[in-house]
Amino acid sequence: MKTITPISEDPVKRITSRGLLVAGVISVILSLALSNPTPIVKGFLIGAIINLLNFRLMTLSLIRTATMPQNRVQGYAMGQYMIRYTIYGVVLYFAFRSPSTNGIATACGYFLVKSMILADVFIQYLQGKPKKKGGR
Amino acid sequence: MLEGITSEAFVMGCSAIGAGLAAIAGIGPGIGQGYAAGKGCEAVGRQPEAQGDIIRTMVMGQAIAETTGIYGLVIAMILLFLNPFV
Repeated sequence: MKTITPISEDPVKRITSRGLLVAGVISVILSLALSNPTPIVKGFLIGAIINLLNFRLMTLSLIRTATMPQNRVQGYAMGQYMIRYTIYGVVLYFAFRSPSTNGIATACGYFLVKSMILADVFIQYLQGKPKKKGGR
Repeated sequence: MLEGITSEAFVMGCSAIGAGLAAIAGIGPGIGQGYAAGKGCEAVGRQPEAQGDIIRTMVMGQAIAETTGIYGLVIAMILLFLNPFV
């Protein structure tokens, strides 16, 4: 008898928690390294948080697509993507317009999840790499 | 025809056109994500026991694909608000 694997969110939670940790560490480093860090740290944190929330939104919408009829999935997924793209655009617009946030730092924060996924794959590759026998 | 238009205004206009063209980059990931989600749904229908693995892989792939659209959006915003040519 075949058993149905439950939809696990473990990698998503792992990437989200690592992302929050890395965003905090980068913010602390920026605060210590720069003379006027407030706009840059604020922009980076806003970008990182929006990116993590959009990642969560994407996960929920993709889980929902698994139980939808196939002819409706493509339109639904595209619509959800457009909503997320609009959120990114509105936040970036206000980050560039506002003098209290740095737009470039916000844009850098948008790539946090991608960096975390690539780092996760790299860590898994290093962990799964077979060790050389005999010390050679 | 271009009389009375300053060079700065001309560059700003061209930058606005460039920003519009850069924002078109957002369409590609949208179509790709929709197509991937459709195929994922098809795969779940064919192998329901692998639903968890399929969706996990799809989430990671789509998160990577989404950043391609963000590149275009960032370039468009830089051209509009932090114009390096003016």
